[in-house]
Amino acid sequence: MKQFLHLAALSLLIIFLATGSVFSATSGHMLDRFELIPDKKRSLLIFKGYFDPGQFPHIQIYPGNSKTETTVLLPRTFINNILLPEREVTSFAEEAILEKMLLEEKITKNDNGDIDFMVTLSLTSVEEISLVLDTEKSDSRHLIFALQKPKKKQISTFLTEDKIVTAAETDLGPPKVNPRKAMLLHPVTALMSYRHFDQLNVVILNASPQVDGAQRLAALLTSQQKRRIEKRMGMKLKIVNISSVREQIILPKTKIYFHANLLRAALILAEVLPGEQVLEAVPDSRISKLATDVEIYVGKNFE
Amino acid sequence: MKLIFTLLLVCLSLPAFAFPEYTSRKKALKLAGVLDHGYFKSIKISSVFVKNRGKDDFYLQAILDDGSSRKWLINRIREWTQTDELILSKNRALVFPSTESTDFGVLDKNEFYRRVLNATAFVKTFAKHDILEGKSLVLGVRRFRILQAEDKKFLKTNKFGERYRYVLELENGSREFFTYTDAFQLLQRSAFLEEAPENVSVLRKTFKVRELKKIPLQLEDELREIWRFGIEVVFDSPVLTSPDRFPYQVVELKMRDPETGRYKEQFFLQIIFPNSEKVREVQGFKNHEYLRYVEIDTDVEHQKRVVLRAMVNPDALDLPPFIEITDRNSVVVNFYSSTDQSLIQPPDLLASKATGGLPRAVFTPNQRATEFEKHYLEAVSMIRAAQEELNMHLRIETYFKALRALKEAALSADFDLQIAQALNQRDILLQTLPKLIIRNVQMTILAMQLDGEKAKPDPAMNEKLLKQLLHADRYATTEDQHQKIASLQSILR
Repeated sequence: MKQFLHLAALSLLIIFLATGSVFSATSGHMLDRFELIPDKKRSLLIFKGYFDPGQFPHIQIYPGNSKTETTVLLPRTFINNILLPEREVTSFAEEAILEKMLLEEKITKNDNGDIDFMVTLSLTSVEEISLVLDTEKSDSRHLIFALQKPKKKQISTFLTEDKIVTAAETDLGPPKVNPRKAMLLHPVTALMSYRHFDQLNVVILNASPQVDGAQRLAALLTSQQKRRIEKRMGMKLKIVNISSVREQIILPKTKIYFHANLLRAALILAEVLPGEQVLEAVPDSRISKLATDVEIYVGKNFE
Repeated sequence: MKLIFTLLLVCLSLPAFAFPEYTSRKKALKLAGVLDHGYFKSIKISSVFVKNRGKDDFYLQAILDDGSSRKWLINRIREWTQTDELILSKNRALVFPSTESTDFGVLDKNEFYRRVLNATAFVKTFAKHDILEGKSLVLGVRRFRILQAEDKKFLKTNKFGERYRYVLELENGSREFFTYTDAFQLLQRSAFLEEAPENVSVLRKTFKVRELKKIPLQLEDELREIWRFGIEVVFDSPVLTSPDRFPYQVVELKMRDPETGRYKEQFFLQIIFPNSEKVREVQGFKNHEYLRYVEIDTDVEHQKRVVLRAMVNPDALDLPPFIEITDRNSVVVNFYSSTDQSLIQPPDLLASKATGGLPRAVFTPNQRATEFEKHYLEAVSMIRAAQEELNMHLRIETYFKALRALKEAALSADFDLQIAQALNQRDILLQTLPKLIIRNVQMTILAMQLDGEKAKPDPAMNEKLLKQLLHADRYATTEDQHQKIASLQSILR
């Protein structure tokens, strides 16, 4: 038994060293184990392992299909399969805010022949939560997410499937604009505050009745117009995602949503794309930290 | 192989976004409890059980009062609730707020009536893909009604197949139609206010457009040579809302060229004014700087909205418009123009060479301000303040202070992006300052000469001007500037 333990420890060490060398060469994270520390106000989901704090800004958090679901994308991340073999975790403490956690590791080879590896965490909570990465407490050995309840007004007389739907209070007062945000809102001060881009990350989503609308537009952009667009914009064009909209929405016209300071790039795209387009700034309610600059919703009018 | 092919065929034959037939155990148990003692096609439901197909796929089995036993899949339950074939007990309604998941809620209609009948204001939140998506307006409530046979939308459905049930008439003249799901979600969002909070303006009538005024071209930023002009939209009453409620969009339209008869793409810049009306003819303009055919029109697709529209050449639109609400019952839409093409060209900076998810801006408004941000914000504020300063001497002094703040910002920068931006800003200032200093010294000397030869120059002022000239000499870029500086220095000495 003792010999077996020694052997196991030795093999673990070898695996660590092997994975460690790959890991350090490519820079990223390794998830070894996790811990959920429940708290009434602010629970903490702590991953232990090896992390590259320089990569923390690339971690993406999205809301899921329902209010209780949250998805976290951890780019350049591996799971230590020996220390963390489970892919579906449901054994949380009774008072814990989490109900289920799914871990999915994806390793793909991109066009340049490089290996891309990422982990998707799908979290299902008992009630609506807001999940934030605690960059102050996270370090090279810990990746810490804070789970807290958003500001809500409960309607007690309401009979709902209480764990699924919760009530949220609408903020009605005038928007609170701090001086830094105000700087970004004014076109001239924004000029002094935004960086110039050398690559435009574009997402193409199908909002047309034709199933392959997004693919066709992407093909048009990449095969026929890419060089022309890049020349006019003065930056590279990269299509980072092609997919369909979830909400079954059919838009009458193709819509180009652009992030702040990218009106010019969006206009160039609209000029090049066939048909009529509508260009709008990404609504505040949808602004995320995703690394996309322009989102094109292919509408019914795209032929 | 055959199996894969069959599966592929099955997948392709299914609609892309079909509502699920099965649900989780937990939701099925809850749903069974909700449906108990309800009515299915006018037959009372005796009891409802949960059954499963596989490990995770659960559905319901209902026993009706007529003795029949029925298998109920979740998608069928959703359809029956929409067509009123499945009715819950105690005046409640079952709703499925999402078209893709089996999450459900129960609308207590009595509670809804109590809330809506006591409401004095309604918080209208604009839906997805509306230009005002996610934004809210608080509108005064006039009257609530349950839709009757004589109403146009009675038994009509929305795009998800849900019947409209109620209408809420608002004081601004608009009407909102609700399905059970809408009612459920509105209650969830606390959209009905018995009393509006003190800091919230309830819009009880629309803003009516009176006239459009041109605001002439003026210099906005002397450092980048950005010019500003505008259009003032004058309303009949104070505009009690924030500028972010007036968004803009650019619309591309294919229009027939009257001369050639060919279709040609034209771009229109549109500013949207919600809760507004055009009740009389308002004169537009044919031209105003780079805008053509400026006019204000009623938005035919949305209730109580007007659109300020102008044709633009997309190549002229370097910067977006900026909205300001005045105390003159008006909204000013500022437009910007610049001849400096470097505004839109990526500079050869370290920051622009980096790939990946660099922050878009030097500011992170949602986080605590860093030392760099404080200094940079101070510098930008001083640059903006300097531009509004009429006294040239004070303006130059403020620019000097801004340069010091930029140095502090650069010293406390954490990223290439921040330092590059601070140094870039410094360079723009340094490039403009010699010109301004030369002009300032020339004007001061001229003023002294006009005061008469007897007027003695103030030694302190003299010293300040010489210091400014020294600075200008260091950063002057042309021979002409150097000569002027030398000449001015000799006069002052």
